[in-house]
Parts: sequence; C-alpha cells; structure tokens
Amino acid sequence: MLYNFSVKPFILVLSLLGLSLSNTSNANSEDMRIVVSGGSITEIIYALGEQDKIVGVDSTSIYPIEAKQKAQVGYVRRIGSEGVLSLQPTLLLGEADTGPPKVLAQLQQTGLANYIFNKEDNYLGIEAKIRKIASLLGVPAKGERLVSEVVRDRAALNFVLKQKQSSPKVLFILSMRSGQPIVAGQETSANDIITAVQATNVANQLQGWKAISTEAVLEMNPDVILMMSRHGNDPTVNIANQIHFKFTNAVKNQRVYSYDGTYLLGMNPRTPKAVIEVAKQLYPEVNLPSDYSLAAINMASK
Amino acid sequence: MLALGHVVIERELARKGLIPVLLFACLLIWVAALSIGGVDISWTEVIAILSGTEKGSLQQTILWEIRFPRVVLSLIAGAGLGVCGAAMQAIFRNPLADPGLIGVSSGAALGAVTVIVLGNTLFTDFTSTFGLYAVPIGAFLGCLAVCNFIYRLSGFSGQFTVISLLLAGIAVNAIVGAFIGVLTLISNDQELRDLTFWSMGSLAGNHWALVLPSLIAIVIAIIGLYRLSQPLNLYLLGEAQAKHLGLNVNALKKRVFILTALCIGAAVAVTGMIGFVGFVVPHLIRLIVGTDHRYLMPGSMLLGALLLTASDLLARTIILPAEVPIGLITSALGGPFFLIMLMKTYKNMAK
Repeated sequence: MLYNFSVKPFILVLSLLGLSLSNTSNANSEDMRIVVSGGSITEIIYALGEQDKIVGVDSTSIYPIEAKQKAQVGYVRRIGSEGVLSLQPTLLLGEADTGPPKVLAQLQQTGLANYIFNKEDNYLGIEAKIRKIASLLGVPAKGERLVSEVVRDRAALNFVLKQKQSSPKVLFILSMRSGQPIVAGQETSANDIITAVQATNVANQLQGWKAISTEAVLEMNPDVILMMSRHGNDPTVNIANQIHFKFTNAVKNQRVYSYDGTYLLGMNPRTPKAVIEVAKQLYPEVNLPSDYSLAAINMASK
Repeated sequence: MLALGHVVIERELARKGLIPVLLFACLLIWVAALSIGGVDISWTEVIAILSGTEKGSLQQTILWEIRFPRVVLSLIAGAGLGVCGAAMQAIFRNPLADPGLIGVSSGAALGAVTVIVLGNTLFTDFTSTFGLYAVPIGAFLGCLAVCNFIYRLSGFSGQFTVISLLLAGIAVNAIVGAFIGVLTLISNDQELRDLTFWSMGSLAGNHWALVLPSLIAIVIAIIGLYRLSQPLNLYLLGEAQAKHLGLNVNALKKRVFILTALCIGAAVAVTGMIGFVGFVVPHLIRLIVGTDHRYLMPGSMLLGALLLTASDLLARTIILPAEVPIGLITSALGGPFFLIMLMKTYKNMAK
C-alpha cells in the first residue's frame, strides 16, 4: 500500500474526547487539498459532500458538472507532475490507470501522499471504494451512509432479478468507429453490467473492447443492444438505419437502448441505479420493490 | 547546393556573431525554463537552490527532481536533433533530408509500440522487469535494429551510395510502418492511447536516473558529428572531388549514419517522437551562416537546444496544470516560422 495516513485514529481519539475537540479535527481535515485523477473518485467525493477538498481533477471527471470547474490536470493517463504540484495538494487519489508511470513515480518521489486504486475495482467493488475514499478523507460515517444507499440499490436489483422470466442475449456497443461497431467482450466494465443483470453477453468469446465486422453482428443476433451515448446524442436511430443491424432481433423489436457512459460504466455510486434501470428495460415483466423508486434517479440517458 | 544560401546579412559578421548570441539565448532560456512552471520559483530562489543555500522545501524538490533533469534533457536532446539534421542534410546533399530517412523514427516507434502492446504478453514480464525503462529500452533497440538493417541493405552491393541508402530507407520505413499498423490493430484501448501519446512526444516525468544514459549517448554522438565538420565540407564538393582530395567518402557516410542513429535513438527513447526540430533548425542556421559546417554544426546544436527548450517551456505552461505534448508545439510553431523565413528569403532574392 502506497498510502499511510495517520489522521484516522487521530480523529477517533478526538471524537472520543468530545464535540468541541472534534471541531478542531474537522478544521484539520478541511486543510486537505486533493488532486483526483479518475472520474469515479471525483464522483464519490462529491456524493460524500466533500468536494471542497478537491483542488484539481483530471479530464475524465465530468460528473457532476460542477467538477469541470476545478483546475484541470489533464487526461487521467497523462497527468503532469508540475501541474499537480502547483495546486499544492496534500493527497493524490488516482484510478488504476493514472499515469504516465514515470510522472506518477516522480510525484511519489517528491513525498506527495497518494493512493492509487488497483485494477480490481469493478462493479462489485464500489462499496469498498467508497469506504476507502471516505476513510482517507476522514469521514467514515458519511462513507457508511453512501454505502448503505448502494446496498439498498443492490437489494432492489436482487428483488427485480428474482422475478425475471427471460434471459436475453445482449450486445454492448461502445461506439461505431467508421461504421464498425466496437463491442464489449470479456473483462470489460460493460460485461460486468451484463453479468450483473444476469443476461448473456453475445460477444463473450471476445476479450476486451473489440471492433467487429457488421456481419458478425448479424450472426450474433442480439435480442437487446445497449449503446453508449455522448453529449446527449441518441445513437439508437443511427443503428436502426444500419443495414446489418436492421435484421437483428433487437432492432426488429425496437430494443436498442442508449446510456450515458459515465452513468452506466463509471463504476461510481450511480452505477447500481443504472444497472437497475438496465434490468427494468431488459425484463419489462418485473416490478421494483414497493418501497423503492427509480423516479429520484437522474435519468442520464435523457 | 542551396538557393536559400544567398542572404543579405553580411556573412562574416553573422558567422562571428551567431554563436555568442545563441549561447546567450540558451543561457537565458535555461534560467527561464528553471524558474517558470506550475510552481513559480523566482530567479533569486533558483540561484539560492542551485547554490545549495535553500534545502528541503517543495521548491527545491521540484527544481532538482523535476525541472532540472527536464531542462537539461531538452537542451541536450534539442542539440542532438539539430546536429543530426544538419549531418543528414549534408550526407544526402538534399535540404529535405531528415533523420527519419535512415529509419531512426520508424525504428524507435516500432520498438516502443512493441513494448507497449506486447510488453507483458509475448515477451513475458519485459515491462515488469524493466519498469519505467521498458519503453525507452524498446525504442532504442528498435531504432538500432531498423537502422542496422537499412545500413546493411544499403551497403549490400559493396558500395554505400546515397541512392541505395535512400531507397533502402524508404522501403524499410514502409515495411516497419506495416508492422506498427499490425500492432496498433491488436492493441487495446489503453495501449492505443499510450502509443498515440508516445508518438506526440513528451519530456515529462524524466528524472536523473532515466535521462542520464541517454544524455551520455547523445553527447558522445554530438562530439563525434561536430568533429566531422571539415570532412563534410569537402563532401559537399561532390563525392568524386572529395575522394580526389583524399577523403574516404564511404567511411564518412557510415560514421555519420552510426552517430545519427545513436544520437536520435537515445533522444527519441526518452522523449518519444519530436518532429520538425531536426529538419527546420539546420535550415534556419544555413540561412544565416551558409553551408560551412564548422559554423553550421555548432549553430544547429545551439538553436536546436534553444528551440526544444522553448517549446517544452510552452508545452508545460500553456494549459496549466495540464500539459500539451511537445511534438504538437514544435510542429505548430516550427512550421509557420519556417514558412515565414522562406518567404522572406525568396522576397530578398527577387529584389
């Protein structure tokens, strides 16, 4: 572990001493200046309500929209060492792909406290990620509150999945690169989502994101096509007009759905809600738990 | 050789004045590059830190660990690119020649791309064993391998002629391009990003341990090339004439080839692709001092250093706290600047 932070026990001791003293500890943690490289981390910090501690973000931190107002340190795999240091951070929080490696090594050499998440953070690791960030920020209680929300979402998902009667074949399309679809194979975030809703990924013989021929799509014949939309463009119309897609079950039955990329694949606190939304669309027959409502959810696909 | 050679400036004066002026400019840009950046360090602080009176501060770490190696790298790599450009244009006796012709760029790209895409699969653990050094080592080896191949091909007939060198270079570059294409095709999204960025060049993140081997190689090559100034002047008279004057033309060409491969290979290994410097710098110097390599070489060296350091300064400050790839800056600034110089020259010639 790269990060070794001693404020947590410190806060614990102070909060035991009483309210007046724990105020001082708050003042102390407000002095934290965090540079974030990775959209999901930024989003978690905003969800924790600790956004004032962020002094800089990378270019993948686009949700919530206010995050874009923070100083930009560049693309997550291409952050600049001096740029980060110029923000006088006390902590660097980064996604697994934070880099380039030599810049990261350089930053670590200057003694900047940092925590880089490992590659294993996926759909099932959202709670662990929230807890880790909350504890690094010295707000474990807020973290637990956010985690309980995620847990509630997961319970709702299980409730939904128990009622399902079908198991559709799903194809996830990242984008159409010059008419060639790039689809999600094994070991992709989209595959995690398809597995989570207990559907079949028709492209599961592929590894990673792969460009496939449009004819291969015909042969796969997905029942449902999920797509990533950007900037509010609706790619579903586009797909339906493509000759090779026209004859798939998905287009014939008008089951092509688009989602905002960061919403569905960001592996952030909103993702479990997005997964429920996907499940609702895949299995029209299911109902949500009576005490659970999707209405409050930001429909990012709109 | 060059229509560009006719200039209005008094040549003798220019020759005498150019080197001191460039040296002074290099010194200025050196101090400026050390002091300007994400974290501002004033001139006085720079001096205090360099003389060792200020210790342990954030500024000191930034200056010593981040900025200093970077500025030294940009100065030396820039000098290397400039000199190699001048040497290549002399050997091909063509102002359009560029070190890329002998396979340095494509070779380095092939090496780097191979490591980025196959580093952890085909060559088991290459990337994890060499860590940060993996891509530079790959680029350097790739550069040497491709250059060696072109070298052998062009010397195949027993003669090392410019035309065989040129043709072998073009053919091998095309083949290497195809290999890079194949690797790009099988790369995943992240690798693709890495290799796109690599091809745009960057001086970021280089600390002493990483740049030192390259610096040594580049300095050796620069000295070697500089010492060939006089023979290169003879060579410009034409191969036959140079031979009659007692010059071993083939040996000269081979030496320039090897030194250029060493120099550019070492530079590109740590910086990634930086276009245009090696091409434009000798041109500009030639406009001022003419084709005499005793002046052209040191001039190209200093202007190369100046241009690359200034570009890097821009690259890392223009959109703070993020950075622009330096290859974009050198091309975006160098291109128009070069065009203006050309226009002016032609205008003067028309008068």
